[in-house]
This record gives sequence, structure tokens and C-alpha cells, in this order.
Amino acid sequence: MNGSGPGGIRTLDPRLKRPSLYLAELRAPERLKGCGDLNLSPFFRRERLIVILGDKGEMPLSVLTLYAFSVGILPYITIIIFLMGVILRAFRWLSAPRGESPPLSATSAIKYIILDIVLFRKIYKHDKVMWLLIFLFHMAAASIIFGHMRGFKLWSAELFVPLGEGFKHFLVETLPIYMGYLFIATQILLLFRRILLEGKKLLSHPNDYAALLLLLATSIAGQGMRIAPPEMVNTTYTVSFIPRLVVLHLEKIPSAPWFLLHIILTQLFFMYIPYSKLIHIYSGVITAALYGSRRSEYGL
Amino acid sequence: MAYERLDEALKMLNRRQLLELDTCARCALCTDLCPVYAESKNPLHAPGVRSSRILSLVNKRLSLWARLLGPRPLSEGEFEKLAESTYHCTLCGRCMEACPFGLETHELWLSVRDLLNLLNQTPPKIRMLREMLEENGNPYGLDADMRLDWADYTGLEEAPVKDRAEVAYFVGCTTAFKAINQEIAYSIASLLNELNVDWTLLGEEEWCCGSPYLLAGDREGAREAAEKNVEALKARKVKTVITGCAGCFRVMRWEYPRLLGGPLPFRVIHAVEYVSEHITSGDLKPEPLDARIAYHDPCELGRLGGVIEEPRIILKALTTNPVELPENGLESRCCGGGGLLQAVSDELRLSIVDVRLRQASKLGVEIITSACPSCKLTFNDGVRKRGYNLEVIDLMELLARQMGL
Repeated sequence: MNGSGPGGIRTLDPRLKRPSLYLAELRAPERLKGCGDLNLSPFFRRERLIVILGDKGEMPLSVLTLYAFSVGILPYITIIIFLMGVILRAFRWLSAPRGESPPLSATSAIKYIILDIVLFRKIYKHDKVMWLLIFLFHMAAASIIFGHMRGFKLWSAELFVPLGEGFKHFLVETLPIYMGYLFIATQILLLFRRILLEGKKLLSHPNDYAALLLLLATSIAGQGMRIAPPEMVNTTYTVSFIPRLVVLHLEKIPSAPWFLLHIILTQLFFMYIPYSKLIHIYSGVITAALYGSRRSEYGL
Repeated sequence: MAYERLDEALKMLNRRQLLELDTCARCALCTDLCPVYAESKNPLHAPGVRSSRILSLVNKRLSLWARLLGPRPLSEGEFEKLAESTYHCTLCGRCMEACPFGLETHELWLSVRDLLNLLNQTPPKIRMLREMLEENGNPYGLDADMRLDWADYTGLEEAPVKDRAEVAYFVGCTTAFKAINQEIAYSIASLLNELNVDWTLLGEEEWCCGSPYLLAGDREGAREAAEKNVEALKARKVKTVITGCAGCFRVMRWEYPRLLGGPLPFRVIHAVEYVSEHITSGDLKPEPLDARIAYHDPCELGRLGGVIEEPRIILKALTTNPVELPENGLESRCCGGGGLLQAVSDELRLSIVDVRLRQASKLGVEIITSACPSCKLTFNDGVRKRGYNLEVIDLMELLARQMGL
């Protein structure tokens, strides 16, 4: 509570040595006293507000506004657009006749979800190079999603303590960086494949490319966060996207530009999933379960 | 007319199929394995592109936006392109087996044919075929009283048409009417006689099994054909129906219960299943050859029918030198003879079979066998066109020959 910026906004942490950017969460609106000269937009005045402050002066209002918007408003828009997309898809699916489906065989369904969706058995059989690419892409994606869950307190790094401190450090700190590179590299290769096959085996819709490019940009921004020096270490930082529901706990204050870019792109990506071919993330699991049940019905 | 019935036609696609279209569209993981695309290299023939085309129609007409804001206009030639894509397919089911998401594409493509039929957008030759089916009960436009002519032509002494029997031999149109396949009927009948089975033919009461109706998108026609055949079989108190045709087998075993809404009062088996039991038990002891003989899995018997091991049991009894072709069993490469492809592009059919014949030639195969009259017909055409030094024979024919029948 010692530092003071030229805008009259006091920085909140005395440990900040070189605060090129400072992210602070203000939990109460009274903390904003003295910020009147910033002419903040209405949503800044809400409780649980996040503000970016600079050491030599406040950040341009446009960036402040964008940041506040991306954590204060955008998550709600994301959820609405995402759910709307899911509802639109579900409406189209459910408005069709029920049709004939095999009786569900849980054992067979799980078996073929594991074999075909997790291990990509069929792709392995036909094209080993493609299998490697797709397998690595999906494994990197899965590990990155798993890693993010720690930020949302779904698991803790203590989980790996029994494996030894060194190994824990490797899993929590080192491996994610390589997974990030792997994720980006496999995406670029898959994108090249699509471009090469275009007009031959594929007739892509522009939104197929939009989805892939959005994912790539999101991943690059996420990797930027990992490799760019953090704003501050050993300072826990909480971002409340949706209070009590989606709260991100960070162990250090990340590089602000990358963080800002990453959270915006991630939300755009989420919004886009139900409107794009990425819907196979959900539909593919269902169809694989049906396939397993059908095989069971046929005694195969 | 097509526009008027489009919404009705699109509503024929069920929930699972819409889910499958969403998953399939613009994916290309199975494309290299599609026998038609492999030869034509036309993106329109790729399964994922076909799905995209159907999905585009669905989105334009049935999405929530379309319902709220009105349907979007169709682009020029949209139906024609969909029909070309749909009928340039052998319905071999290879895309289904290759699909990591396990999409039941075989059924999906059949439903698209139903949709095109309702829209009156099936290719002209397919429409002609339907007319012949309606008039004569078979796809060759021949009179029903010619169904038993094969017995005369092949010199079969005992071809019973009884009022009651344990077993019925369902010959199938492609075996009964196509001269090149009539030896298959002779062989199966001779084997049944050799085994002293109480068996019967349906004679003039045999109707098309329904497979060509399904391939032409006429599910109602297929249901009617199924009803006629089941009635004729029930009247004879038949317990087992044997057929030597992979198409008849698949439709009777797997489609009839769906078409008729319940289980059949008899079991349906392919002749290879029946005969392999008797080879295993020692009832049939053929004289084995020393030739390099390969068995080609018909798509409708193996991948789509689930009969894979039994023909191999027979093959091993027929030769000391069996050869396994690449891409076999569930992964069998289509010969090109299915899906009524011949009606839209015979050239493509022959180009597809050539790939299989090259595979066999490379392995030094002397005799190529199958268990399907359509495969035999296609292999025979392919061998004649390119002059391969290969004998084409049905597995049942070869067995009867080695039994001295």
C-alpha cells in the first residue's frame, strides 16, 4: 500500500521492485477512491474489479478497459454464446426423428472410446505418421487442459510430491513448456496438411480455418505467458472470471500483454466451438460409444 | 418438385445421423481408403465432402436460424452434385471401418439415397432399375418364371421346390439370372444334396431380397420385398435360410428385422457358414489343390455382415497353398461391384477392381475366390479387360468341384 502512481492510484504491493505492469485485484469498491480522474467506464465500479496499473502512470484507459472487460464481462458473453451454440446444435439434432440406435453396451462403448478416441487405433492402422501427429496433438492438448485445472484448484501440485521434489518440478514447471511447443508445432503441421489436401480430399469451409487459426493464436499467447518473464514471482494472484464458479489462481503475476491476449483468445475459442467442426470434441465421443454398442449388438 | 419436398426429405435423417454428419463433415481421415476416391481423385467422391454437402442442405433448411429467418437459397446444381457424390460410392463401408469416430457411414449413405429418391434426384439408370424391380421383382427385368432356368442350364438333377422343408436355399437374382453365376447356384444345391439336407427352393415365389431397393433409396420397396420373401419362407416352415449371395445375406440377416420391425422366425446364414461347419465336422472332405488360392472378403459378408473366419476354414480345406490378400477381413478392399456403381460409372468400377487384381497378381495368386456373385462378376470383367492370368471362381463352386460334384 506504499507506492503511488502519478494518476493518484496507489500500488498495492511494496515488494514490487520493477513494476512494469501491476495487476491487482480490488475486492471492494472503496479501494477505487481517488481513481475518479481515470473516468472509468461503469463496469469498473463493480465489486471484484481488476485493474491494471503502471509504475510510471496508469495504463492507457483502452487497455484497462479491455482487461476489465475480458475478465468482468466477456466470461458471461462467452458462456451465453457457447450455450447458445450448444442449444442450436442440440435443437437441430433433437428436432430430427429418433431413429434406430443400438442398445447401449457400456463395456463395449468404453472399450471403443478408449481404443478409437484416446489411442486412435484406426488411424494407427492406416497411417502411422498421421497417427503420431494426431496423437501428439491430442496428448499435448489433454496435458495442457489438465495443467490449467491446477489454476482452477481442481488438483494441486502436491499430487506429485510422492514422486520426488525434482520430478514434481519437472512435471509442473518444465514439462508444460515443452508441451506448449509440441501443441503449437502439431497444430501448424495439421494446418499445413489441411492446406495441402484442400481441393483434393477436402473442401473446407472458411470457418474450419478460422477455428484452427483461433486455437493456434490462443496456444501461442498461452506459450508467450509461459516463456515471457512474469511481472512478479512469489505473489499469488486471483482472477475471478465468474465469482465462485470460474476463479483462476496464479502463483505469480504473469506477463500482462500475453495474459490479456490469452484470456481473450481462449474465450473467443470457447465461444466458437459449438459453431465449428470442433463440435467433434463432443459428438465424436457419442458416436464412438454408439459404434462400440453396435459392434456388441453384431457380436463382433 | 425437389424444392417442395426438401424439408420432408431432410427430416428423414435421424438424430444419430445428424450427429454423424457434424462429426464427419470436412474430415479426411478415411479418404485414402475410399476405393472410389482412390481411383477418381474427385473430391466430390470423398466421404467427408459428401457429408459437408448434406450438412449444407440441413443448415440452409433446418437450422434454428433457417426456421426463424427463413430457409437460405440453394446454390446451383446442389442436388446434382449431391447425387453424383452419393452414387459414386460402392457402399463398401470401408470409411466406416476407418473412421476413428465409428460413424455408421454405410447406413448414412443409404439414408442419403432415400433422401435423393424422395426428391426424385436419383440418376436415370437407377430409376430404370427401380422400374424393373417394380415390374418383375428383380433388377434384371426378367420374368419370375425364369428364376429356375439356372437348374436346367447347369444340368442340376434335383432342384426341389417343396411346400415344407427344414432349409431353404435363397438363390438371389444375380446368381439366378446372370449366366456367369449360375454355377454358384448349382454348386450350393449339389452340396445340399450331398449332405442329404431337407431343403427347398422358393422358385417363382422368390422375390428380390430387397438390397437393390435399398441401394436405389426405396426403403418401402425393400420392406415389401422382405414381406413377400418372409411370407414364402414362413409358409414352408423353414428353420434355416441359406444364401450364397453376400448382398442377400446382409439384407436378410441384418436389414429384415429392422424393415419388418421384429426378429425373423428363421435364421439366415451364408452358405460359407453352413458349409464350414460340415468341413470342420468332417462331413465334407474336398480334394485339396496345390494352387495359390486367395479369398477376397466381400464387403457385405465380411465388414458389413460379420462373416470372416468361415470362408478361410473352407479355403484351407481346398488348397495346401492359401494366400491372404492385403487389406482383408474387416479391412477388405472393395472390388468395385457394390452400391450400383456400375450403373453410374462402369469405367470406375473396372478401375477399382483392377487395384484388387493387381494385389492378387503381385502375390502370384492363381485362383481368386470370393463368396458373392457381384464380386465374381466384377473380378471376371476386370480379368477379361486387362488379361490377367487368374481364374475367378466362387468359393462354393471350387468346393463343389473339389468334391467331384
